[in-house]
Amino acid sequence: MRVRSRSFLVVAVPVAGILSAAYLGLSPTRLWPGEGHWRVLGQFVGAAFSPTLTSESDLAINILPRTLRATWNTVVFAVAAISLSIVGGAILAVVASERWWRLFPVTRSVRPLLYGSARALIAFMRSIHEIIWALALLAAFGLNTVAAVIAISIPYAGTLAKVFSEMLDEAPDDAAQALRMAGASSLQVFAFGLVPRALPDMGAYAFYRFECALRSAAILGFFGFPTLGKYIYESCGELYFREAWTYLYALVALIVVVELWSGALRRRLTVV
Amino acid sequence: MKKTSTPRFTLDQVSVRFRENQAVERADLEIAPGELVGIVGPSGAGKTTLLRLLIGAVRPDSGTLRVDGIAMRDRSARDLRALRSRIGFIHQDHRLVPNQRVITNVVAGRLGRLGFLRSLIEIGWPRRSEVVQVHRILDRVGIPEKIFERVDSLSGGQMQRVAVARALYQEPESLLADEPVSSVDPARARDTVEQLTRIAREEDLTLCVTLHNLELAREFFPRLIGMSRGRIVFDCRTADLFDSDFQKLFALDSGEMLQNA
Repeated sequence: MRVRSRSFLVVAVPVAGILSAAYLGLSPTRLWPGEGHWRVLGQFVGAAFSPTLTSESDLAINILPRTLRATWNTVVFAVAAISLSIVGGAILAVVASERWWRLFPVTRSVRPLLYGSARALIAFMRSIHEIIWALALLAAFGLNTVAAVIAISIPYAGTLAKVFSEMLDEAPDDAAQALRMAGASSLQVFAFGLVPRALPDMGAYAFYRFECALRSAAILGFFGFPTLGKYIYESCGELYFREAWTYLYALVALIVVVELWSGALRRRLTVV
Repeated sequence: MKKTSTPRFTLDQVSVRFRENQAVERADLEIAPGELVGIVGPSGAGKTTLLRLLIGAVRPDSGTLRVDGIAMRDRSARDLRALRSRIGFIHQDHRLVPNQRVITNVVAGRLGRLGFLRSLIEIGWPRRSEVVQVHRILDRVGIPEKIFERVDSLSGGQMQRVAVARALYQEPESLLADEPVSSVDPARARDTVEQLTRIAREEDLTLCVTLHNLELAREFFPRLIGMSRGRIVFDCRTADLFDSDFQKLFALDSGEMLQNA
Protein backbone atom coordinates (compact mmCIF):
# COMPACT_ATOMS: atom_id res chain seq x y z
CA MET A 1 0.00 0.00 0.00
CA ARG A 2 2.73 2.44 1.01
CA VAL A 3 4.88 1.46 -1.92
CA ARG A 4 2.01 2.01 -4.32
CA SER A 5 1.23 5.48 -2.93
CA ARG A 6 4.89 6.41 -3.19
CA SER A 7 5.13 5.42 -6.85
CA PHE A 8 1.90 7.34 -7.42
CA LEU A 9 3.59 10.45 -5.99
CA VAL A 10 6.65 9.96 -8.18
CA VAL A 11 4.40 10.20 -11.24
CA ALA A 12 1.91 12.74 -9.91
CA VAL A 13 4.35 15.46 -8.85
CA PRO A 14 6.00 16.00 -12.27
CA VAL A 15 2.63 15.71 -14.02
CA ALA A 16 1.19 18.39 -11.73
CA GLY A 17 4.23 20.55 -12.41
CA ILE A 18 3.85 20.26 -16.20
CA LEU A 19 0.10 20.91 -16.05
CA SER A 20 0.48 24.03 -13.91
CA ALA A 21 3.25 25.34 -16.15
CA ALA A 22 0.99 24.86 -19.17
CA TYR A 23 -1.86 26.63 -17.38
CA LEU A 24 0.37 29.62 -16.61
CA GLY A 25 1.51 29.71 -20.22
CA LEU A 26 5.13 29.20 -19.25
CA SER A 27 7.43 28.22 -22.04
CA PRO A 28 11.23 28.07 -22.09
CA THR A 29 11.38 30.58 -24.93
CA ARG A 30 9.40 33.16 -22.96
CA LEU A 31 11.70 32.77 -19.97
CA TRP A 32 14.58 33.73 -22.23
CA PRO A 33 15.22 37.48 -21.71
CA GLY A 34 15.15 39.95 -24.57
CA GLU A 35 18.01 42.24 -25.63
CA GLY A 36 17.22 45.05 -23.13
CA HIS A 37 16.75 42.63 -20.26
CA TRP A 38 20.14 41.12 -20.91
CA ARG A 39 21.78 44.51 -20.66
CA VAL A 40 20.09 45.39 -17.35
CA LEU A 41 20.88 41.96 -15.94
CA GLY A 42 24.50 42.45 -16.99
CA GLN A 43 24.60 45.84 -15.27
CA PHE A 44 23.11 44.38 -12.10
CA VAL A 45 25.61 41.51 -11.96
CA GLY A 46 28.50 43.80 -12.91
CA ALA A 47 27.61 46.26 -10.15
CA ALA A 48 28.07 43.49 -7.61
CA PHE A 49 31.82 43.89 -8.13
CA SER A 50 31.79 47.67 -7.73
CA PRO A 51 29.50 48.72 -4.91
CA THR A 52 29.76 52.41 -4.11
CA LEU A 53 29.54 54.66 -1.08
CA THR A 54 28.73 57.66 -3.25
CA SER A 55 25.13 58.29 -4.18
CA GLU A 56 24.58 57.65 -7.89
CA SER A 57 21.98 60.41 -8.13
CA ASP A 58 24.02 63.07 -6.35
CA LEU A 59 27.77 62.57 -6.30
CA ALA A 60 28.10 64.98 -3.35
CA ILE A 61 26.26 62.59 -1.06
CA ASN A 62 28.05 59.82 0.85
CA ILE A 63 25.61 56.98 1.50
CA LEU A 64 27.60 55.35 4.30
CA PRO A 65 25.69 57.12 7.13
CA ARG A 66 22.41 56.25 5.42
CA THR A 67 23.49 52.61 5.07
CA LEU A 68 24.49 52.38 8.71
CA ARG A 69 21.27 54.05 9.86
CA ALA A 70 19.16 51.73 7.71
CA THR A 71 21.07 48.71 9.02
CA TRP A 72 20.52 49.88 12.58
CA ASN A 73 16.82 50.45 11.87
CA THR A 74 16.56 46.95 10.45
CA VAL A 75 18.04 45.52 13.64
CA VAL A 76 15.76 47.61 15.85
CA PHE A 77 12.64 46.60 13.89
CA ALA A 78 13.66 42.94 14.05
CA VAL A 79 14.47 43.02 17.77
CA ALA A 80 11.18 44.72 18.59
CA ALA A 81 9.25 42.28 16.41
CA ILE A 82 10.95 39.12 17.71
CA SER A 83 10.60 40.23 21.35
CA LEU A 84 6.89 40.78 20.93
CA SER A 85 6.63 37.46 19.04
CA ILE A 86 8.45 35.50 21.74
CA VAL A 87 6.15 36.81 24.48
CA GLY A 88 3.01 36.22 22.44
CA GLY A 89 4.28 32.94 21.02
CA ALA A 90 5.24 31.55 24.44
CA ILE A 91 1.83 32.32 25.91
CA LEU A 92 0.01 30.81 22.91
CA ALA A 93 2.35 27.80 22.96
CA VAL A 94 1.33 26.93 26.50
CA VAL A 95 -2.36 27.28 25.66
CA ALA A 96 -1.91 25.15 22.52
CA SER A 97 0.06 22.44 24.32
CA GLU A 98 -1.77 19.21 25.05
CA ARG A 99 0.38 18.56 28.11
CA TRP A 100 -0.53 21.85 29.70
CA TRP A 101 -4.25 21.03 29.69
CA ARG A 102 -3.61 17.44 30.73
CA LEU A 103 -2.17 18.80 33.99
CA PHE A 104 -5.65 19.93 34.97
CA PRO A 105 -7.96 16.93 35.19
CA VAL A 106 -11.09 19.12 35.37
CA THR A 107 -10.55 20.15 31.74
CA ARG A 108 -10.78 16.56 30.48
CA SER A 109 -14.05 16.90 28.58
CA VAL A 110 -13.25 20.26 26.94
CA ARG A 111 -9.52 19.69 26.46
CA PRO A 112 -9.49 19.17 22.65
CA LEU A 113 -11.67 22.26 22.33
CA LEU A 114 -9.23 24.33 24.40
CA TYR A 115 -6.03 23.46 22.60
CA GLY A 116 -7.88 23.04 19.33
CA SER A 117 -9.09 26.64 19.35
CA ALA A 118 -5.63 27.88 20.34
CA ARG A 119 -4.16 25.94 17.42
CA ALA A 120 -6.78 27.35 15.04
CA LEU A 121 -5.84 30.88 16.08
CA ILE A 122 -2.15 30.06 15.61
CA ALA A 123 -2.82 28.61 12.15
CA PHE A 124 -4.70 31.78 11.18
CA MET A 125 -1.85 34.03 12.35
CA ARG A 126 0.71 31.95 10.49
CA SER A 127 -1.16 31.47 7.27
CA ILE A 128 -1.08 35.18 6.42
CA HIS A 129 2.35 36.44 5.38
CA GLU A 130 3.86 39.43 7.16
CA ILE A 131 3.76 41.45 3.93
CA ILE A 132 0.01 41.03 3.78
CA TRP A 133 -0.35 41.93 7.46
CA ALA A 134 1.79 45.00 6.70
CA LEU A 135 -0.47 45.98 3.79
CA ALA A 136 -3.55 45.66 5.97
CA LEU A 137 -2.05 47.55 8.92
CA LEU A 138 -0.62 50.24 6.63
CA ALA A 139 -4.07 50.84 5.22
CA ALA A 140 -5.42 51.17 8.75
CA PHE A 141 -2.67 53.11 10.54
CA GLY A 142 -0.52 54.65 7.84
CA LEU A 143 3.28 54.52 7.75
CA ASN A 144 3.51 53.76 11.47
CA THR A 145 6.51 52.01 13.03
CA VAL A 146 4.32 50.12 15.47
CA ALA A 147 2.23 48.84 12.59
CA ALA A 148 5.34 47.40 10.91
CA VAL A 149 6.49 45.69 14.10
CA ILE A 150 3.05 44.21 14.68
CA ALA A 151 2.83 43.09 11.06
CA ILE A 152 5.96 40.98 11.56
CA SER A 153 4.97 39.87 15.05
CA ILE A 154 1.61 38.34 14.17
CA PRO A 155 2.85 35.55 11.84
CA TYR A 156 6.08 35.17 13.82
CA ALA A 157 4.24 34.72 17.11
CA GLY A 158 2.10 32.12 15.36
CA THR A 159 5.10 30.21 14.03
CA LEU A 160 6.92 30.37 17.37
CA ALA A 161 3.76 29.24 19.17
CA LYS A 162 3.34 26.23 16.89
CA VAL A 163 6.94 25.11 17.22
CA PHE A 164 7.19 25.93 20.95
CA SER A 165 4.03 23.98 21.76
CA GLU A 166 5.35 20.97 19.84
CA MET A 167 8.62 21.22 21.76
CA LEU A 168 6.71 21.36 25.06
CA ASP A 169 4.63 18.35 24.06
CA GLU A 170 7.65 16.33 22.96
CA ALA A 171 10.21 17.27 25.63
CA PRO A 172 11.28 14.34 27.85
CA ASP A 173 8.95 14.22 30.85
CA ASP A 174 11.19 12.16 33.13
CA ALA A 175 12.09 15.07 35.40
CA ALA A 176 8.45 16.18 35.43
CA GLN A 177 7.39 12.75 36.66
CA ALA A 178 10.04 12.80 39.37
CA LEU A 179 8.82 16.20 40.61
CA ARG A 180 5.21 15.01 40.59
CA MET A 181 6.25 12.03 42.71
CA ALA A 182 7.95 14.44 45.11
CA GLY A 183 4.64 16.21 45.67
CA ALA A 184 4.95 19.12 43.22
CA SER A 185 1.73 20.76 41.97
CA SER A 186 0.69 20.66 38.32
CA LEU A 187 1.88 24.21 37.75
CA GLN A 188 5.24 23.41 39.38
CA VAL A 189 5.62 20.22 37.37
CA PHE A 190 5.09 22.20 34.15
CA ALA A 191 7.31 25.14 35.10
CA PHE A 192 10.21 23.26 36.69
CA GLY A 193 10.02 19.83 35.07
CA LEU A 194 8.84 20.36 31.50
CA VAL A 195 9.73 23.92 30.49
CA PRO A 196 13.44 23.60 31.39
CA ARG A 197 13.68 20.47 29.24
CA ALA A 198 12.21 22.31 26.23
CA LEU A 199 13.93 25.65 26.83
CA PRO A 200 17.27 25.04 25.04
CA ASP A 201 15.46 24.00 21.85
CA MET A 202 13.03 26.89 22.18
CA GLY A 203 15.90 29.35 22.60
CA ALA A 204 17.75 27.98 19.60
CA TYR A 205 14.64 28.19 17.45
CA ALA A 206 13.88 31.75 18.61
CA PHE A 207 17.36 32.77 17.48
CA TYR A 208 16.79 31.24 14.09
CA ARG A 209 13.53 33.19 13.85
CA PHE A 210 15.43 36.37 14.75
CA GLU A 211 17.51 35.92 11.61
CA CYS A 212 14.29 35.56 9.62
CA ALA A 213 12.91 38.68 11.34
CA LEU A 214 15.93 40.66 10.09
CA ARG A 215 15.09 39.70 6.51
CA SER A 216 11.40 40.49 7.06
CA ALA A 217 12.27 43.86 8.61
CA ALA A 218 14.42 44.64 5.59
CA ILE A 219 11.62 43.65 3.20
CA LEU A 220 9.11 45.92 4.96
CA GLY A 221 11.32 48.80 3.81
CA PHE A 222 9.63 48.30 0.42
CA PHE A 223 6.59 50.03 1.94
CA GLY A 224 8.67 53.03 3.01
CA PHE A 225 9.80 52.02 6.49
CA PRO A 226 13.39 53.26 6.90
CA THR A 227 15.05 49.82 6.86
CA LEU A 228 17.52 48.52 4.27
CA GLY A 229 14.68 47.36 2.02
CA LYS A 230 13.56 50.95 1.42
CA TYR A 231 16.92 51.90 -0.09
CA ILE A 232 17.35 48.65 -1.99
CA TYR A 233 13.92 49.20 -3.53
CA GLU A 234 14.55 52.85 -4.40
CA SER A 235 18.01 52.26 -5.91
CA CYS A 236 16.85 49.30 -7.98
CA GLY A 237 13.90 51.34 -9.24
CA GLU A 238 16.34 53.96 -10.56
CA LEU A 239 18.71 51.25 -11.86
CA TYR A 240 21.39 52.53 -9.42
CA PHE A 241 22.72 49.01 -8.98
CA ARG A 242 26.10 49.91 -7.48
CA GLU A 243 24.27 51.73 -4.66
CA ALA A 244 21.79 48.85 -4.34
CA TRP A 245 24.64 46.40 -3.88
CA THR A 246 26.05 48.46 -1.03
CA TYR A 247 22.74 48.05 0.81
CA LEU A 248 22.54 44.38 -0.16
CA TYR A 249 26.03 43.74 1.17
CA ALA A 250 25.08 45.53 4.40
CA LEU A 251 22.12 43.16 4.73
CA VAL A 252 24.26 40.11 4.00
CA ALA A 253 26.88 41.26 6.50
CA LEU A 254 24.18 41.79 9.11
CA ILE A 255 22.72 38.32 8.58
CA VAL A 256 26.16 36.71 8.68
CA VAL A 257 27.09 38.48 11.92
CA VAL A 258 23.83 37.47 13.60
CA GLU A 259 24.18 33.95 12.23
CA LEU A 260 27.65 33.58 13.74
CA TRP A 261 26.56 35.07 17.05
CA SER A 262 23.41 32.97 17.35
CA GLY A 263 25.25 29.88 16.17
CA ALA A 264 27.68 30.27 19.07
CA LEU A 265 24.80 30.82 21.49
CA ARG A 266 22.87 27.84 20.12
CA ARG A 267 25.83 25.56 20.63
CA ARG A 268 25.95 26.70 24.24
CA LEU A 269 22.22 26.17 24.69
CA THR A 270 22.09 22.63 23.36
CA VAL A 271 25.00 21.05 25.15
CA VAL A 272 25.17 17.31 24.73
CA MET B 1 4.52 6.79 70.71
CA LYS B 2 2.38 6.80 67.60
CA LYS B 3 5.44 6.43 65.45
CA THR B 4 6.09 2.86 66.45
CA SER B 5 2.45 1.81 66.74
CA THR B 6 1.33 2.65 63.16
CA PRO B 7 3.15 0.91 60.32
CA ARG B 8 4.51 3.25 57.67
CA PHE B 9 3.33 1.07 54.76
CA THR B 10 0.67 -1.63 54.88
CA LEU B 11 -0.36 -3.75 51.90
CA ASP B 12 -3.44 -5.90 52.29
CA GLN B 13 -4.03 -8.31 49.41
CA VAL B 14 -2.86 -5.70 46.90
CA SER B 15 -2.89 -6.61 43.20
CA VAL B 16 -1.82 -4.56 40.18
CA ARG B 17 -2.40 -5.57 36.58
CA PHE B 18 -0.93 -3.95 33.47
CA ARG B 19 -3.20 -5.08 30.63
CA GLU B 20 -3.12 -8.86 30.94
CA ASN B 21 0.14 -8.90 32.92
CA GLN B 22 -0.03 -9.44 36.62
CA ALA B 23 2.57 -7.03 38.01
CA VAL B 24 1.82 -7.53 41.70
CA GLU B 25 -0.39 -10.35 42.95
CA ARG B 26 -2.21 -10.33 46.29
CA ALA B 27 0.68 -8.84 48.23
CA ASP B 28 0.53 -8.63 52.01
CA LEU B 29 3.18 -6.50 53.63
CA GLU B 30 3.86 -4.33 56.63
CA ILE B 31 6.82 -1.98 56.92
CA ALA B 32 7.43 -0.17 60.21
CA PRO B 33 8.91 3.33 60.49
CA GLY B 34 12.69 3.23 60.47
CA GLU B 35 12.94 -0.21 58.90
CA LEU B 36 15.56 -0.95 56.22
CA VAL B 37 14.09 -3.27 53.61
CA GLY B 38 15.73 -4.71 50.54
CA ILE B 39 13.49 -5.97 47.73
CA VAL B 40 15.15 -8.62 45.55
CA GLY B 41 14.16 -10.79 42.64
CA PRO B 42 14.68 -11.27 38.92
CA SER B 43 13.81 -8.48 36.50
CA GLY B 44 10.11 -8.24 35.77
CA ALA B 45 9.26 -9.64 39.20
CA GLY B 46 7.23 -6.54 40.12
CA LYS B 47 9.80 -4.90 42.43
CA THR B 48 9.53 -1.47 40.81
CA THR B 49 5.73 -1.66 40.72
CA LEU B 50 5.75 -2.45 44.43
CA LEU B 51 7.89 0.61 45.08
CA ARG B 52 5.71 2.82 42.90
CA LEU B 53 2.63 1.59 44.77
CA LEU B 54 4.08 2.91 48.02
CA ILE B 55 4.22 6.48 46.70
CA GLY B 56 0.86 6.37 44.93
CA ALA B 57 2.29 6.44 41.40
CA VAL B 58 0.52 3.13 40.72
CA ARG B 59 -2.97 2.39 42.06
CA PRO B 60 -3.93 -1.03 43.33
CA ASP B 61 -6.50 -2.78 41.14
CA SER B 62 -7.68 -4.58 44.24
CA GLY B 63 -6.76 -4.74 47.88
CA THR B 64 -5.90 -1.92 50.25
CA LEU B 65 -2.71 0.09 50.56
CA ARG B 66 -2.25 2.21 53.66
CA VAL B 67 0.46 4.74 54.35
CA ASP B 68 0.70 5.93 57.95
CA GLY B 69 -2.56 4.11 58.61
CA ILE B 70 -4.59 6.00 55.97
CA ALA B 71 -5.80 4.16 52.88
CA MET B 72 -4.37 5.59 49.66
CA ARG B 73 -7.79 5.69 48.03
CA ASP B 74 -9.14 7.87 50.84
CA ARG B 75 -6.53 10.57 50.31
CA SER B 76 -7.44 13.73 48.43
CA ALA B 77 -5.12 15.10 45.73
CA ARG B 78 -3.81 17.67 48.19
CA ASP B 79 -3.30 15.01 50.83
CA LEU B 80 -1.43 12.80 48.36
CA ARG B 81 0.86 15.72 47.47
CA ALA B 82 1.59 16.31 51.16
CA LEU B 83 2.32 12.61 51.62
CA ARG B 84 4.62 12.50 48.59
CA SER B 85 6.57 15.50 49.83
CA ARG B 86 7.50 13.34 52.85
CA ILE B 87 8.71 10.42 50.72
CA GLY B 88 11.92 10.67 48.74
CA PHE B 89 11.98 8.55 45.58
CA ILE B 90 15.27 7.81 43.85
CA HIS B 91 14.70 6.74 40.28
CA GLN B 92 16.80 4.20 38.46
CA ASP B 93 17.35 6.71 35.61
CA HIS B 94 17.80 9.68 38.01
CA ARG B 95 15.18 11.88 36.26
CA LEU B 96 17.06 15.15 36.69
CA VAL B 97 16.90 18.21 34.45
CA PRO B 98 20.23 17.75 32.62
CA ASN B 99 20.59 21.32 31.36
CA GLN B 100 20.26 22.84 34.81
CA ARG B 101 22.73 23.17 37.62
CA VAL B 102 23.00 20.67 40.43
CA ILE B 103 21.68 23.16 43.01
CA THR B 104 18.55 23.85 40.93
CA ASN B 105 17.80 20.14 40.70
CA VAL B 106 18.31 19.62 44.42
CA VAL B 107 16.18 22.61 45.45
CA ALA B 108 13.37 21.23 43.25
CA GLY B 109 13.06 18.38 45.75
CA ARG B 110 11.15 20.65 48.10
CA LEU B 111 8.55 21.90 45.59
CA GLY B 112 5.85 19.86 47.32
CA ARG B 113 6.04 22.12 50.37
CA LEU B 114 5.99 25.44 48.52
CA GLY B 115 3.39 27.56 46.79
CA PHE B 116 4.04 28.42 43.15
CA LEU B 117 5.43 31.92 43.69
CA ARG B 118 7.68 30.83 46.54
CA SER B 119 9.00 27.98 44.43
CA LEU B 120 9.74 30.37 41.53
CA ILE B 121 11.85 32.48 43.85
CA GLU B 122 13.61 29.59 45.58
CA ILE B 123 14.48 27.87 42.30
CA GLY B 124 15.42 31.06 40.48
CA TRP B 125 17.23 32.84 43.28
CA PRO B 126 18.02 30.42 46.13
CA ARG B 127 18.79 32.19 49.40
CA ARG B 128 22.08 31.85 51.18
CA SER B 129 20.60 29.55 53.81
CA GLU B 130 19.33 27.22 51.08
CA VAL B 131 22.66 27.20 49.29
CA VAL B 132 24.32 26.27 52.57
CA GLN B 133 21.81 23.50 53.15
CA VAL B 134 22.21 22.10 49.63
CA HIS B 135 25.96 22.22 50.06
CA ARG B 136 25.71 20.27 53.32
CA ILE B 137 23.60 17.55 51.69
CA LEU B 138 25.91 17.33 48.68
CA ASP B 139 28.80 17.04 51.10
CA ARG B 140 27.04 14.08 52.65
CA VAL B 141 26.69 12.27 49.35
CA GLY B 142 30.28 13.17 48.45
CA ILE B 143 30.03 15.79 45.67
CA PRO B 144 29.97 19.22 47.41
CA GLU B 145 32.23 20.74 44.76
CA LYS B 146 29.65 20.07 42.02
CA ILE B 147 26.99 22.35 43.46
CA PHE B 148 27.07 24.92 40.64
CA GLU B 149 27.90 22.49 37.80
CA ARG B 150 25.42 21.56 35.12
CA VAL B 151 24.02 18.07 35.60
CA ASP B 152 24.87 17.02 32.05
CA SER B 153 28.55 17.57 32.79
CA LEU B 154 28.49 14.90 35.53
CA SER B 155 29.17 11.18 35.35
CA GLY B 156 26.41 8.63 35.86
CA GLY B 157 27.52 7.96 39.41
CA GLN B 158 27.56 11.67 40.22
CA MET B 159 24.06 12.14 38.74
CA GLN B 160 22.91 9.32 40.98
CA ARG B 161 24.23 11.23 43.98
CA VAL B 162 22.40 14.37 42.87
CA ALA B 163 19.20 12.30 42.73
CA VAL B 164 19.87 11.11 46.29
CA ALA B 165 20.57 14.70 47.38
CA ARG B 166 17.30 15.89 45.83
CA ALA B 167 15.41 13.22 47.77
CA LEU B 168 17.22 14.12 51.01
CA TYR B 169 16.50 17.82 50.52
CA GLN B 170 12.82 16.91 50.86
CA GLU B 171 13.62 16.09 54.49
CA PRO B 172 11.66 12.89 53.99
CA GLU B 173 10.40 10.33 56.48
CA SER B 174 10.90 7.53 53.97
CA LEU B 175 13.29 6.89 51.12
CA LEU B 176 12.39 4.62 48.23
CA ALA B 177 15.20 3.74 45.82
CA ASP B 178 14.62 1.86 42.58
CA GLU B 179 17.71 -0.09 41.51
CA PRO B 180 20.05 2.68 42.71
CA VAL B 181 23.17 0.77 41.72
CA SER B 182 22.17 -0.33 38.22
CA SER B 183 24.05 2.55 36.57
CA VAL B 184 27.23 2.59 38.66
CA ASP B 185 30.27 0.33 38.59
CA PRO B 186 30.55 -2.50 41.14
CA ALA B 187 32.95 -0.59 43.42
CA ARG B 188 30.61 2.39 43.55
CA ALA B 189 27.59 0.13 44.00
CA ARG B 190 28.74 -0.92 47.45
CA ASP B 191 29.45 2.71 48.41
CA THR B 192 26.01 3.76 47.25
CA VAL B 193 24.14 1.12 49.22
CA GLU B 194 26.34 1.70 52.25
CA GLN B 195 25.63 5.43 52.02
CA LEU B 196 21.87 5.01 51.66
CA THR B 197 21.57 2.64 54.61
CA ARG B 198 23.87 4.79 56.77
CA ILE B 199 21.91 7.97 56.06
CA ALA B 200 18.64 6.13 56.70
CA ARG B 201 19.92 4.92 60.08
CA GLU B 202 21.27 8.36 61.04
CA GLU B 203 18.05 10.13 60.08
CA ASP B 204 15.77 7.35 61.29
CA LEU B 205 14.22 7.00 57.80
CA THR B 206 12.20 4.11 56.48
CA LEU B 207 14.22 2.78 53.55
CA CYS B 208 13.02 0.46 50.79
CA VAL B 209 15.47 -0.41 48.03
CA THR B 210 15.02 -2.71 45.05
CA LEU B 211 18.23 -4.52 44.18
CA HIS B 212 19.50 -6.93 41.61
CA ASN B 213 22.65 -7.54 43.58
CA LEU B 214 21.96 -10.22 46.19
CA GLU B 215 25.30 -9.87 47.96
CA LEU B 216 24.74 -6.18 48.66
CA ALA B 217 21.15 -6.85 49.70
CA ARG B 218 22.26 -9.48 52.21
CA GLU B 219 25.10 -7.36 53.52
CA PHE B 220 23.23 -4.14 54.20
CA PHE B 221 19.56 -4.93 54.79
CA PRO B 222 18.31 -6.62 57.95
CA ARG B 223 15.07 -7.53 56.20
CA LEU B 224 14.63 -8.85 52.68
CA ILE B 225 11.56 -9.30 50.51
CA GLY B 226 11.91 -11.71 47.61
CA MET B 227 9.64 -11.29 44.60
CA SER B 228 9.06 -13.41 41.55
CA ARG B 229 6.37 -12.98 38.90
CA GLY B 230 4.47 -10.45 40.98
CA ARG B 231 4.32 -12.58 44.10
CA ILE B 232 6.10 -12.10 47.39
CA VAL B 233 8.02 -15.35 47.75
CA PHE B 234 9.67 -14.59 51.05
CA ASP B 235 9.69 -11.74 53.55
CA CYS B 236 11.88 -12.30 56.57
CA ARG B 237 15.00 -11.37 58.49
CA THR B 238 18.06 -11.67 56.31
CA ALA B 239 19.77 -13.81 58.92
CA ASP B 240 17.05 -16.44 58.50
CA LEU B 241 17.54 -16.81 54.75
CA PHE B 242 19.62 -19.54 53.11
CA ASP B 243 21.33 -19.59 49.73
CA SER B 244 18.69 -22.04 48.61
CA ASP B 245 15.97 -19.44 49.17
CA PHE B 246 17.64 -17.14 46.66
CA GLN B 247 18.27 -19.92 44.20
CA LYS B 248 14.62 -20.87 44.40
CA LEU B 249 13.65 -17.23 43.85
CA PHE B 250 15.49 -17.05 40.57
CA ALA B 251 14.71 -20.62 39.51
CA LEU B 252 11.00 -19.79 39.72
CA ASP B 253 11.49 -17.33 36.93
CA SER B 254 11.63 -19.99 34.20
CA GLY B 255 15.30 -20.64 34.49
CA GLU B 256 16.61 -17.07 34.52
CA MET B 257 20.25 -17.10 35.54
CA LEU B 258 21.41 -15.77 38.88
CA GLN B 259 22.65 -12.29 38.09
CA ASN B 260 25.37 -10.48 39.99
CA ALA B 261 25.16 -13.12 42.68
